[in-house]
Amino acid sequence: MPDRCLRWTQSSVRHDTFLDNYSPFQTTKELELDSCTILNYNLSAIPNHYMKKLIPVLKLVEWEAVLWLIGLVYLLFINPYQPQHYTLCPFKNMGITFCPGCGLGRSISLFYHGDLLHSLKAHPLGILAFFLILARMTKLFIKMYFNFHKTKEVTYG
Amino acid sequence: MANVLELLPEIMGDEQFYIGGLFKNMDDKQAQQFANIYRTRRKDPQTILLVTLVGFLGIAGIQRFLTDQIGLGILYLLTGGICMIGTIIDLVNYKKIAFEYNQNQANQLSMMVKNM
Repeated sequence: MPDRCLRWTQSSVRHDTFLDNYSPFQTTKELELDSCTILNYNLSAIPNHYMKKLIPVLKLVEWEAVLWLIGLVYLLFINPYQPQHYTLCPFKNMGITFCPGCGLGRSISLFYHGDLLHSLKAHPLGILAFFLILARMTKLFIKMYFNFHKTKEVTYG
Repeated sequence: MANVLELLPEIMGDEQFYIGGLFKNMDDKQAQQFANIYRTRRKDPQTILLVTLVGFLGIAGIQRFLTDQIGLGILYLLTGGICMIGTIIDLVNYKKIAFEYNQNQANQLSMMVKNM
């Protein structure tokens, strides 16, 4: 057995004592033993092994926070003074003019530009929405950071 | 040691692992007490899903009120779920929203039960 595999098995034995902590890696004991045999005997199965490792990590990512971040960063690059722009709003696309949410993006974008008066005119809740989304996003990212930290401790002692 | 499947058969997935982890530090009586209170306090992911779907009828953001995120709830309510985009995000994300709330409740509850 190569050194690396020995280390893996040791960590999986240690891992057993840490099972009382919650972790999505809880099934890694079998996975790690599998990966040892895979590395030794069957090289073609490695991509599958990486997928098995990757999926628990992807589960830890807070996609909601990532989407909020993409939205807020996207609003940094649009021009709020443009009269017409591409819209995702289903009401507007169906031809209904009344929509309570429209103008929110423009409002936040105007807020970035420091144009508070026009921002409130575009949508009165724009500035509040920006801070609420920012708070939620920060909370989720902090939670995610601690989750990653915890699993590292759990899996590698 | 208490078994999650016996005491709380209705919970699944991540939540089950999490509660199982909490049960390791409790004795049988504490676990029983925990299960009784937790069952009344937790939010079912299915409830969150159904309530999120109500957002398409015009009243969006009830899921955020139910899971103690009042600020975002008001924002969703007054903007039609941010032009329905927020509602669709929550529709994809409903399990995580419910789990986050349940995790907080479970943490508080386990502290309470241990101090009793």
